[in-house]
Amino acid sequence: MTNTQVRFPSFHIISYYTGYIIFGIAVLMGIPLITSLLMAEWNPALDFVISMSVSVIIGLLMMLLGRRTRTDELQVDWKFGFIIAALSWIMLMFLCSIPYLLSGHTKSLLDGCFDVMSGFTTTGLVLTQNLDHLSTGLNMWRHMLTFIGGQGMVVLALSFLGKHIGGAYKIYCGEGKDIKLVPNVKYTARIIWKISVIYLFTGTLALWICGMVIGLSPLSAFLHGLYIFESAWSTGGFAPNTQNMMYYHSFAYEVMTIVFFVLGSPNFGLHYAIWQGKKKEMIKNVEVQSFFITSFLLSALAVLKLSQSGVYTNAVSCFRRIVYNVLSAHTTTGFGNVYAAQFANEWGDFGILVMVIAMLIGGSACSTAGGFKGLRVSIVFKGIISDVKKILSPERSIRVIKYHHIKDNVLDDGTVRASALVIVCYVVLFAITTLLGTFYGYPLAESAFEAASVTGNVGLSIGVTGAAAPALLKVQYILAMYLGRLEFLSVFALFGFVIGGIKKHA
Amino acid sequence: MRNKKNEVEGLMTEVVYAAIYCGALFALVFLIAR
Repeated sequence: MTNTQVRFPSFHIISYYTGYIIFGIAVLMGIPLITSLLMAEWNPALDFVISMSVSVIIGLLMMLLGRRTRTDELQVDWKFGFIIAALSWIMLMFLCSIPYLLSGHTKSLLDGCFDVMSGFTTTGLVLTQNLDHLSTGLNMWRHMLTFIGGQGMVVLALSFLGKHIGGAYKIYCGEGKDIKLVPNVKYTARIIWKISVIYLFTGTLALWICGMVIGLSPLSAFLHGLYIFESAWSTGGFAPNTQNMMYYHSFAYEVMTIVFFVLGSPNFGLHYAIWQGKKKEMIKNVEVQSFFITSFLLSALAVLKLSQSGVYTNAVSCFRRIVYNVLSAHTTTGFGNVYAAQFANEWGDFGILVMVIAMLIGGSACSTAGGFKGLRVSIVFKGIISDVKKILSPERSIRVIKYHHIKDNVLDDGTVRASALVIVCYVVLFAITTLLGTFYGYPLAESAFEAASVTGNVGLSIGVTGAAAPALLKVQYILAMYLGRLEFLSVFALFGFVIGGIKKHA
Repeated sequence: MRNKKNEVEGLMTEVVYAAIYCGALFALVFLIAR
């Protein structure tokens, strides 16, 4: 322990923990590296050696620069927690795109960054070229990114902590997760990973068997099963081929993916409660109720309109083409089994609007899903009902409104305000992104569809996203995915910190 | 041991609920689009 006062403690704290998270993710590049070696893909293996070396060196260097954090036991406060989470996501976006660039499958650094951010945020939009001929190593990396991103990079790094660090919870919250399953955040992070890994084994096994039944070779069925499960559970939407779910031509495969992405979209707190034996939570939880109502309503509306207009004529095709895509949008997964042009040409304005609403609402808070979340919709809805009841009640009466989410919670004005603010931020981001799409000449419905897809971290495309799209639009989409995933606050904190620093030294 | 049993039961419960949910959705579609 040294007695000298640390100069610029903020720099030390941010550098150390950002470096720690980067180092943790860099080590994981060993998995695609081993995959490449096993598959005798020597060039991709070399790509991963280079990428891993660069990332490990940068991570270690940052930890070294901020080493006083450890020796002087500097504490992380809320501001730093948010900044570390936001900064590590940006740095990892650049570092994790190196294998893409070296593979020659992306046209530019921007396209590589777009795909990495799409993976991390579990969006699923793709700018990678010639997707059907990617190496196994790069495919493994793409799907790992979406699986890690779903659970959270910070969550992963925290679960490997040797000892508890002061303020770990604040970094964890910076990643848009705010639920403590157990009092210690390190064990909370481990529980999140435990649930996901158990599902990973179970789901991959189920899809592996199904893949072999539909005619894939055992190795191919295993790899496809692993990739698709990682994407489904993380509500990601990546697939190892350009045709996405249409590649499999299988009703059984589609139903299994529905089960997995529907299970991937609830709150980790809900999973943990059920695994602790509290089975009634599945019925009582306000987020489950909200998802049940909105998904049934939106599916019914879309089926009603599209079956009436003769686009899909029987119940099976309605379920496979309409309900599948509505659920995929609502859980923010992004698996699709209709072509982008079909959304534009066959679904009509009503169908597109249903999809936009589903994508914006999204899944559950503290889950792998995006969107402004069912919990916030329920809270604001209950807040409105409460205000109406207050107006209609005698002036002296006091009403206590509750909602059930893991436990009974009292609905106060602060909670309603916080939820409404996040929804407003999402809507403003959606509007700006739509506006930019229309500025570049895309029709309003298509711009809105794509904007909802990036803002809600969904990944379904109506055809706007492509390598030929304007660079500024790609940057806006990256920003929208990033803001949507981290739920604004962390990114605002990072911007505020940088702008504050510039003003101070100007 | 008891934890393991709870976890297996929890996993099965979730999968069964998700399957029931899919079935209910299909029934709804069948009613609308038959």
